[in-house]
Amino acid sequence: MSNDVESKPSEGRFIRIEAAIDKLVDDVAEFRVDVATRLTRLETVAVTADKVQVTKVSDRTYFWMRVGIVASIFIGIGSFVASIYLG
Amino acid sequence: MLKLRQTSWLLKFLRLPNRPIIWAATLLHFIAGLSLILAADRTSRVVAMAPFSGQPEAWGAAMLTSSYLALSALFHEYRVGQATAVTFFGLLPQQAFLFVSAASAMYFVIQSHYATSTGPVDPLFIFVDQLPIMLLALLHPLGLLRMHASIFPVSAANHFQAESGKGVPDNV
Repeated sequence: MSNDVESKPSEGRFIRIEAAIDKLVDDVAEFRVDVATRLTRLETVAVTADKVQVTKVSDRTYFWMRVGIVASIFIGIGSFVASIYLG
Repeated sequence: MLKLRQTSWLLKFLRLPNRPIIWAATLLHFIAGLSLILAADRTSRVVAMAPFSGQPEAWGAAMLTSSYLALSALFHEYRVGQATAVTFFGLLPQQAFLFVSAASAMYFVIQSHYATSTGPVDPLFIFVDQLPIMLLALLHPLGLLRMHASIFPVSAANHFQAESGKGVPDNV
């Protein structure tokens, strides 16, 4: 008898805890869906912006762009070395 | 060849506001070029312009041209709506001038005197005094790369596929 009496409240407590866990799981799931939705939106924005922003140049132009940026730096370094040697 | 891949983390970390850097350099070269042409005898021995003091008017004209090219590049970008190869090449002469000025500043730091032969001055004094032009020269190419992130695939990937979730491009 005494066991039955004691078991009832603890059972109820377990049920409450289970319900709380279920609610927590539901909340987490909802949160994950929410985050996934937001990320998808962000991705859409990024992809859209990507399509708008990307500029295509030919391989040759791209090569000369890289040469240009390096050359412009080496012009400075060259002038520095020339200043040292020429005074 | 410069390893652009190595600069991508730096670009991401710095998040440089590239337009102010480019505008600063453009205005600097406009004023410097103008002063070299109009008052060569009074301005040609400024540390940053000492390499151009041989033919100050000619170099001043070249500086003004680079400034106008940069302005045209910015205007072109405004018209087209995006940075292209044209804007890139338009901004390159300006970068070369910046590097020559920075090299000149470094030279006079090592020489421990100013271009006007004022000295000897503590090298640290000249270094701190001339730091802005050197910093501008260092930041300009990074800003240039960031501005053209949609052309340079590495820096573009850096912006569009960021770990934090594909944020909107920030190469403005």
